[in-house]
Amino acid sequence: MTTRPLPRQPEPDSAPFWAATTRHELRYQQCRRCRRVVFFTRAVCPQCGSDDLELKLSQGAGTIYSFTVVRRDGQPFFRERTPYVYALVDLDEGFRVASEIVTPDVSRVAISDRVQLSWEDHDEVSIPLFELAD
Amino acid sequence: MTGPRPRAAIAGIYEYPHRNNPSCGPLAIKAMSAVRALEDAGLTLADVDALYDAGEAAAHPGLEIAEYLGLDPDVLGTTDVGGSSFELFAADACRAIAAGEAKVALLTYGETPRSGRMVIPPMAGTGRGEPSSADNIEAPFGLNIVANYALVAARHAHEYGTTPEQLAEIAVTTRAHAQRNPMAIQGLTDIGIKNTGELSVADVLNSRMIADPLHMLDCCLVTDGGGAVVIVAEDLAGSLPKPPVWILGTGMAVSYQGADRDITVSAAARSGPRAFARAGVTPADIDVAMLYDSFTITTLVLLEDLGFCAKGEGGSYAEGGRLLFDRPGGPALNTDGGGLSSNHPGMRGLFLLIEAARQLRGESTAQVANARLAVAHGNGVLLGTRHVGGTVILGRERP
Repeated sequence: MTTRPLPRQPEPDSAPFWAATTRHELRYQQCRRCRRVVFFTRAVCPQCGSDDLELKLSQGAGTIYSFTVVRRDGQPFFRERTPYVYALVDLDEGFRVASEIVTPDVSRVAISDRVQLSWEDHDEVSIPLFELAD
Repeated sequence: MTGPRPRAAIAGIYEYPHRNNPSCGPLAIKAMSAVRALEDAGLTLADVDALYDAGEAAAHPGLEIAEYLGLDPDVLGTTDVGGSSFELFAADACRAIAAGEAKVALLTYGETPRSGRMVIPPMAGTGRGEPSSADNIEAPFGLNIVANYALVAARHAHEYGTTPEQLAEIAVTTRAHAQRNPMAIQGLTDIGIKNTGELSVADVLNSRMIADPLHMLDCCLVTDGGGAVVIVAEDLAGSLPKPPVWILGTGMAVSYQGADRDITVSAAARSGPRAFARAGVTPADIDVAMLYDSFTITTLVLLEDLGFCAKGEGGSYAEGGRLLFDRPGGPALNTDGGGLSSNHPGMRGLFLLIEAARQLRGESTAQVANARLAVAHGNGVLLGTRHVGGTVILGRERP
C-alpha cells in the first residue's frame, strides 16, 4: 500500500495550519487590519500588506465550486485510488481549498453540492478531506 | 500604458523536426536550432547580443547554452514561467532592443521528455526546491495535471453549458491542420500514435477518459522538440533574406487562486487587451491565432479571453470548422497542428511564435491566404490554479 503525499516540513508559513490538523481543526487566516480572509496561511495579507493575521477556525462546511473524476493517474497512491474525486471547495467562511471528495459513488457528485469536512489521520498531520453533506 | 512602440521583428526561425530522437539531447537541439535560425536570418552566432532561455529546470538556465554555443551576450533573460516563457522573452527582447541594449536577440528551447522517457511529473509544482505553504496544502490531493485543467472545463460546462463535443472540435480542427504538416504527421508516427489521420468529434469522445470531462484526445502530446527564434532591431530588418515579421504589441498577466476567482477566466483576459491596445489592432483584425493548446479547454478559454468571442461562447464558436485555415468567420487556429497534434515537449510557447512567423511570411503548410496579422498567446504553468499569460501581436507590415 502506497501512502498519500504529505506536506513537507519544516515550512514556517504552513506549520501552524498543519499543527492544527492534528486536532482536526481546519484553520484559515483573517487580516486584523483589513478583515480580508486569507488562504493558504502566509506571513503577509495579500490585500493590505499587514503582517497581523489571525488564525481562525473553520466549521468545515462548504460547497463544491468545481470537481473532476480522475480516471488515470501516474502517481502510485492516486493510481490505486482511481476513480477519485478531486475538487475545489468554497468554505462558508469565504476561502477555497483543493481537496478530495470521499464517496462510494463518484457519479453522485455535482457542482454546488454541499460538503462537510472529514479527516484522514497520519503520524504527524491529518489531511482535510470532504464528504457529501446529508 | 502605451509607450513608444518597440521596433523589432522576428528575422529567423527554426523548428527542430524530430519528436522522438534519443540521439539528440536538449542542449544539442537548442544549439543546432540556434545556428539554423540565425542562418535563416542571414546572421551568425557572433551577431547575438541578447540571449533568452528558460533552462527547463537546468541548474543554470541560459549560462549552459551560452557556454555550449560560445555566445557572449550583453543581455541574458532566463524567466521560467512554463509554456508562456517565450512570449515573455519576445517582449523582453523588444524592450532590450528599444532601449538600445541589443540588436540581435536569440531565443532557444529544447526538451526531450519522449526519448528521455521522462514522465511528466504527476505532481505538478511540487517536489522541486523548498517547500511552500501553497505546495503543502495542494500536494496531498495529487495535483494531477489533467485534473487541474479538467476543473476549469467542468466549471465552464456548469456555467455556460459547454459540451465535450464542443471541446472536441478544437482537437478536430488542429488535427486537420496537422494533416498538412509533414513534420507533425511523421512525429505522430514516431511517438507511436496509430491513428494519424483526421479526427472526428466521436474519435475524441471515444478516447479514454482521463479526468472528466477531458479525454485522452483532449490532451496534448508528449514529444521531444525545440527550436529557436531570432528577433532583430529595426535597422537590421531591412537587409534580411526573409520578410521581417514585426512585433506590434505584447502583454502579460499572472493569475492565481483566490476565494473569489472565476477559474473560467484566464490571465489572457488581461494580457490580451494590453497587447492589442499596444499594437493598435483588434481581435477581429487577426488572421491567425496561435493559442496554447495543452488541453482543448485551454484553447477554448483563450479564444474567449482574447476577445474572439464572448465569455461562455467559446464552445459554439469552435463548432463547424470556423477555425480551419481556409474558412472565413474566425482566425485560423494553431495551423501547425498545435500541441494536440504536432508537438508538445513541455513549453510550447516558442512554436506559437514560429508558426505565426511562418504564416506572416507565407511559409505555413496550412497557409492562410494573405495573412497580415497573427496573435501568439502562451499559457504557462497550470490553467486551474496558477499561471502566466503572455500575448504577442505580430504583423507583416512595418508599424
